[in-house]
Amino acid sequence: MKPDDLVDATPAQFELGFERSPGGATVLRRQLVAYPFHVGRVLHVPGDPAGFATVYVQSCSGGLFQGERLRLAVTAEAGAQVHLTTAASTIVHAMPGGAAEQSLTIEARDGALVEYLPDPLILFPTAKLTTTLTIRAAETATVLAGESFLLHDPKGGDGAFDLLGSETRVEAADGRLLALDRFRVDGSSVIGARPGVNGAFGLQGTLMLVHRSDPDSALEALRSALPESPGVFAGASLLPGDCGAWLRVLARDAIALRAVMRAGWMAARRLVTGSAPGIRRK
Amino acid sequence: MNEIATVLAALQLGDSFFPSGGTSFSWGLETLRADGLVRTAADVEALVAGQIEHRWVSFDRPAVTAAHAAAGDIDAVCVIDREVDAATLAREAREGARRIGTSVLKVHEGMGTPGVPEYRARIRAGDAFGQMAVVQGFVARASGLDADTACAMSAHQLVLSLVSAALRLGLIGHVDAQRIFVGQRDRVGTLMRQPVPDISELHAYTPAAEIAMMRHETGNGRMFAS
Repeated sequence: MKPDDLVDATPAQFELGFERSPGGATVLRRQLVAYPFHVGRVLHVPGDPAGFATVYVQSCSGGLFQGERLRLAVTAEAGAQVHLTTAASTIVHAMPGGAAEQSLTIEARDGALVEYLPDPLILFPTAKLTTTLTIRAAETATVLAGESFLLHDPKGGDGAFDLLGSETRVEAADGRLLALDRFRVDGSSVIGARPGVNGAFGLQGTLMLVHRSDPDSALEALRSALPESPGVFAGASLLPGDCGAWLRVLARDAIALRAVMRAGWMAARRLVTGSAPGIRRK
Repeated sequence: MNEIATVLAALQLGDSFFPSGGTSFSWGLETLRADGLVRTAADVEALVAGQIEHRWVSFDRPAVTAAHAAAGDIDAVCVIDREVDAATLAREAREGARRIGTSVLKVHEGMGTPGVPEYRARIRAGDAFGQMAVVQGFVARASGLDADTACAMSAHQLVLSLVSAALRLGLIGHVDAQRIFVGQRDRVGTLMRQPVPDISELHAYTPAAEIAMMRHETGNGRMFAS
């Protein structure tokens, strides 16, 4: 089934609409949040530019479970600036007889900045998850979206997830496709550690920096975040469709993964606002 | 075409003597070697198998198949070409596949392969990019080859470019190279019995090769174009 059909089949269970108020602050103008989601109040993190909003998207249910089909939609109107994140990693639980799906659409209008940087997905044995992220960005908007995953067997064995299907679409405001990242992998392939596939690295992270007004600067920003350490293998490149740049990292541990993702975030933020983000302890 | 003529056409178009420029590309192997992630003949063999199982079968093969089926409808070919281009995220992979595709089309235009001038005109007009896998399906059909043969040639050319790069990088010898070709026959044959994913389902999972190509953009001492 195509992601669009799924979105049409069920209304979004989670919709947030951000606007820039006349005073310059980004405010949450529209909010429709149903179980299992919970949205904290709009925060201003010290160190961020005045009016910059940070919002934690939380799930009350303790992760993603078999049979769940979650729909999320975030809209940032002209000039709004918002950082969306999670309070913790998302556990993708065992799914012996089914699967879960999550789709998110981010629309960023003129001059808006949306950062969507959730903590990693932790894939348990037999987990089957399909995630779809659609980024629809105006020519002057910026969207930074992250995705990362690792596998974990809570029983301490070598049980592996069955499927992670991940699709990220970058579209122009009129829906024209600019860039598409789609991968499908199962845990035993990750454990297989083949050269050229994931090598000896069990964790993966991706940052998409959609910055249509100046893709070369987006690439320069992400390249500046690339580490040179033996525990990670990372690169950055220009996206197709002149829509920005992207970074992909393979890592051996969660600390190394997070360091690269954070460095990419800081560089992307500096590109847009001129200063590094305020960091809030989780 | 009779059977022998078909085999001869496949041999000609799939041969490394065909001027596609394909052997100028290592598809990340040069960087994987420089970074110490591919060191031995066994590593090269595993890399080739991984590229076939985690990329070719779910990305190139559906693109070749869709382009072969659509070959008479240049608008449809352009749609497939743009989809493949948008889904090839590492710049050297995207631009390398464009370079090979456009080179192949240029040679086929000189050979008088039907339909090729129209495809090239659409590339010049910015409606398409000449993505390698799409061109492979298109010219195979225009040359009278069936879709399975087109896919087999596409797999062969991928293996060819990887082993030829590995050979020149000093990772394998000639006998290793031929052994790797033999090893891929059954793998490709088995994979080709699976249903072909639709063009809207193109997917791949080869992050290490992608990252290697991205690192290659700024790397030193480059022998290959990817």
